[in-house]
Amino acid sequence: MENKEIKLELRNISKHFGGVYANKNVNLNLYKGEILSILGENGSGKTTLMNVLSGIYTPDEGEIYINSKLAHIHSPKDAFEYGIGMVHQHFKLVDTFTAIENIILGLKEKSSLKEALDKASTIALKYGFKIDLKKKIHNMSVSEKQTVEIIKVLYREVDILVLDEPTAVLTPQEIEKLFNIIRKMREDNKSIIIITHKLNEVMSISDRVSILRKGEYIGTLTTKDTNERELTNYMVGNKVDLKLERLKLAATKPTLEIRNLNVLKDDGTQAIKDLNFFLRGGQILGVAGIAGCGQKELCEAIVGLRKYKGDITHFGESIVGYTPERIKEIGIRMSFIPEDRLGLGLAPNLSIVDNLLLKSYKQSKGIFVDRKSARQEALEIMERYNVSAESIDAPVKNLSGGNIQKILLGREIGTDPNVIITAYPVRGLDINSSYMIYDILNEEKAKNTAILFIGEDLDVLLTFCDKIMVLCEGRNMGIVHTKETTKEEIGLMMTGAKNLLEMYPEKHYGFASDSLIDNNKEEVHE
Amino acid sequence: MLVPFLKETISMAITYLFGSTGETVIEKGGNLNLGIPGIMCLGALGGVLGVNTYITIFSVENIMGWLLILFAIFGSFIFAALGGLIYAVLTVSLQSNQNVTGLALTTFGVGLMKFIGSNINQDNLTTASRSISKLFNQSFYEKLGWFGEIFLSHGILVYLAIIIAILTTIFLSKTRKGLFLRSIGESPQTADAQGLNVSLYKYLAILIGSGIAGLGGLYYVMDRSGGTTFVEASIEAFGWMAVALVIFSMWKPGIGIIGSLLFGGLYILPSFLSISNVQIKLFDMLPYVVTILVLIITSVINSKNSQPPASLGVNYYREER
Amino acid sequence: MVEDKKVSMPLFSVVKRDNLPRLKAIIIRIATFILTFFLAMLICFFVIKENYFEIIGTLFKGATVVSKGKILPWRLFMDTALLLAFAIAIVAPFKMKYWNMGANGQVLVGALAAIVVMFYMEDFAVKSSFNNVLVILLMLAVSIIASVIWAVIPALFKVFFNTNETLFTLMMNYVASALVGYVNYQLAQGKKESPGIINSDSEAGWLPVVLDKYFLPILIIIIITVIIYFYIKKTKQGYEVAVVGDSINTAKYVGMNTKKIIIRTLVVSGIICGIIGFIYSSAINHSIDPNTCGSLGFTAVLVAWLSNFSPIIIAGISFVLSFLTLGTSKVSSTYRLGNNDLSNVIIGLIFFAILVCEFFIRFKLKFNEENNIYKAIKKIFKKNRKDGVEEC
Repeated sequence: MENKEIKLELRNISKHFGGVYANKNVNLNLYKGEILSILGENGSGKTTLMNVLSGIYTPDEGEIYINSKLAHIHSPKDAFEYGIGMVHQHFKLVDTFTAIENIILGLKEKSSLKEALDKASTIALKYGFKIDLKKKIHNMSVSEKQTVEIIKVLYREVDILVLDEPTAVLTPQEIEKLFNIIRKMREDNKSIIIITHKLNEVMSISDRVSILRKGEYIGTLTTKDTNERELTNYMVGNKVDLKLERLKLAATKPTLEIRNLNVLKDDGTQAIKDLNFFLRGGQILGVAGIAGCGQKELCEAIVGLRKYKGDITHFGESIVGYTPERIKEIGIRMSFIPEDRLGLGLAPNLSIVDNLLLKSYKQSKGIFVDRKSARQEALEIMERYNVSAESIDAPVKNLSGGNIQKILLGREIGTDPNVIITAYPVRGLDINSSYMIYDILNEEKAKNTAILFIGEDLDVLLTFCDKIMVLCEGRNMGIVHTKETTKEEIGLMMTGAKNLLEMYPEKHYGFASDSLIDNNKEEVHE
Repeated sequence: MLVPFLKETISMAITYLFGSTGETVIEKGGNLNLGIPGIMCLGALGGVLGVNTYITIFSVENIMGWLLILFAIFGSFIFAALGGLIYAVLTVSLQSNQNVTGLALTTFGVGLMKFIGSNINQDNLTTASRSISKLFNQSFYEKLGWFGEIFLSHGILVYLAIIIAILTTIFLSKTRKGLFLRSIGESPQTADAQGLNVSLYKYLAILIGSGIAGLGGLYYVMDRSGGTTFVEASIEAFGWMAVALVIFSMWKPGIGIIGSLLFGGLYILPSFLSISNVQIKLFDMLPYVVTILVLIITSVINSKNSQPPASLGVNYYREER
Repeated sequence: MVEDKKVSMPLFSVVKRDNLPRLKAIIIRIATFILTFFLAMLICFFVIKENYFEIIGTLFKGATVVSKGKILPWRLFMDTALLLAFAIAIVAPFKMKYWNMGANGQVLVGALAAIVVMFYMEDFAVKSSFNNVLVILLMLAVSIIASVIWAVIPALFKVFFNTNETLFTLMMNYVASALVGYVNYQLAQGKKESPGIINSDSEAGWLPVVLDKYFLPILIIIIITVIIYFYIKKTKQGYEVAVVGDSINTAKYVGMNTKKIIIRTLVVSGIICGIIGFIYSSAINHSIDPNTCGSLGFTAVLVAWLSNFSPIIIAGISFVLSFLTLGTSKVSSTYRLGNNDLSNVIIGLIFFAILVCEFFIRFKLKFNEENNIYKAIKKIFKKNRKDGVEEC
């Protein structure tokens, strides 16, 4: 490794947004023909750094050297000229275009569409991608979209490839496939940077690993000389106890029972198909599945934001077709902590006070909003959850991700819910905030609240939840007890390779033995 | 009765067609320009000033049709594009709200046309208009009977409008550059990450689109109205309908040709019906009611093919977080 | 290959500002306005070629003209109040990102309904002063009903089919104009374009004059403004408007009935338009024509946007714009510029300038030290400074 030549060097890169440093004096170098992982928690500045490299952001300070020469990168176009290509976490694709139209976007060459198709097919063949280049992006699955992104970059014959969290949306099997492709690129003497926050992936794919923490560069290690424990310490700084707690509580009657649920996506395609499951007080039901396989629609249907077919009962009482307003009116205390916190849970430009009022403003008498008691409540929540904000009148969008989530959770917990529906509640949060969120959820669980927890990190799901329901393309693949299953089994179920419902039809997955609706079927496995 | 009706329909449609073709180009780049009425007025003003310049140089007795029309088109395009430039600087470079900027531009453009246009010698314009509003000899097209009367009795701008609409369709759907422009209207983030110069494309789309729309103003003043400049209120109304026509045409200038004929036909219909003056007043609202119906129908159908560019109306700032 | 490539350095990059202090932002806006005003006057100066300060003097005199026997410039107050009222009418929908461009049309149909009542109920009204009051109240009621209908139709389509409300409301303006033309013709029994001033002898249905013809209308508008101020800032309904405007999905998520809220807000908007229409018919014009509102509904959209939804700032901007409009029309007539559309040109220019200044309030330019132009400028600047030091 030592005798390899340096391909890329970043020196003292700094970038700040509104007074907060996203990157501070970051140094990095990349050899020819190696795979370098950039490891860091959410919010540690990995993506910002790569956006600087690919010309999306202009750094406040610092220099980039390519082949030992100073490079001036002021736009993505410049980055391409230097042979740098980036696969963004949020795909940069035009949905209404076909794959090949996306690939040729921005290219100067005068080649015909036919020639472009040939060239792209050759690349696909070489690396073993299976893809229809004439298919429109909006008809593609997530992994197909990622394939298009990668071909797009390879088409431009880049020799530095940056992949931003490429595995977040893939199943374990798809991840292995991707890694093989990345290794093949290394054999072609390309330099690859892969951004991730998953330690096992770092260990399995990379030659070296660079660590960022809170925007600062911590150091670089050779992968084979390190281990997950050491990496964690570097990544998190002060030692954090990584153990998640799973409370074991006595089972109560089913709080929410869902039968034959069918939900459509916005575009009219099926999101959720014939889904049966139930939630018990004092239990956390995890939901695993590839991104976009119906999780969002499931949540929205349960809380009454989306139309559906099927039965939803709350302690045996049907709430089918109820709007959120109606659910609230009949005294059901259901809390929804959505994935899109600023777009769905909060009003970003309104103050903390006004956001806390969202669910309770109607309770005060008269035509005026009672902001006085809301201010009091705001101060209490900020104190209890340790929220840092310049003032309670500041717009919530100015807060950090962790503080925003605490405000949202504080408001929802404040309504004393008996059902909590939550989707990716720790997405984008640093470790300390994440653990605070897990603690709050456990506290609620201890109060016999029924919790539906949609997660993405299988390790978290396996340690934190009592049971896991696996979705594949909106269908239930089975509900398993976390202590009796493995990551591999869940991975297979996520892709539909293993379907417990078909394997053991006699077990009646998703039907409670002590159902409050009927007792014809029961889940034997419980 | 039918022949003059169809002739007039085509004649009326052209004002809308220029406007909607220009606005389509702008919207395909992701900018919703509500300044179109103002830009059409600026185009009319620039065209009139172009004609005036010609007359000052060559005198009104000595009119060479092709040179006069060049002066007119040049003046019109430049003035309208300057209006577009104001809009582009404000919305593309300075991130101003597109609707507000457009409205301010309309206020400005309509006001400026009224302010300056009224000081120009009307007689000269009327004379000049005669050589702009006919491309072929009357004896030539009259020989061809109804066909000549309907299709060949117009001025050069009519044919230019149709050619531009067709060329724009081809540009947008068939060429590489057209694909690039569409990608910017759909997702400027993507286009930018692919190395396209988003601002440059937006500027060009706005300038050229405004120039095309401006010709609509020129056409209305120098051809259809025979050189009358006191028509800014009408142009303003036509400008709004041209913007509505873009929705009707589903962002396809080819369909825009049909749409503009429909709008044009409706606009002139009352004068071909034997009705009283009072009833004509009621018919005045017809084109607007139909525009409303078109808006409603397209939104009710709401098909996948009739969707606006995904980033329409949203400014692009690269470092947005 | 790429090693020797010369990448051009941009002169500057655009960076988002950390929040600018509010006072500073306001001062920048006012300074921009004043600067643009004097620049616009400079343009007038080049057109008119008279003494620069005399032109400005004419403008001020024109704006504050006091009619015979009065002590206050009522015309200026009335114009300000009208623009204020239009902007107040659309500000709540606007806050919900509902672009109501149809205030003109809404006011017009309201005014028309009032005129029709006034026309046909003259005989009833003249019988007693109590009857007259009844007619005036009826005029107010029908005006409000007509305006509300006109405002709610596009809103219904917006809510249920997502029909583009900007163009819909614009078209409704023209439909309203045509309707006025038609009804006017009918009232004049098809003989004339319009019946002219209604009840000019009996003054039936006319709002009584207190202090000045314009005093009562202005008072009504001030009251509306105060009510709307509290409506937006303090009431639950105003709060709902803010939430729907900020994030419609969040509003749905917390159980608000967003469709109802949007339509209700447009009803409020329509009520105000109806009152304005009533004021036009009963207090100001006593007649109607398709251009009664001018382009007020339009300017009001710009005013509401620039005010950032604050009724107080709306009042300030309305005053300034009305001042300019009155002033420039005086300038136009004094120097025989033919017509009074100078004001729209100047208003347009001022809006452009303010939009530019909004950019500099939100962003700043960061100059690139490696750019050659920047280096050159810096060199000159440094040299000058050195010279200065030596002189000291």
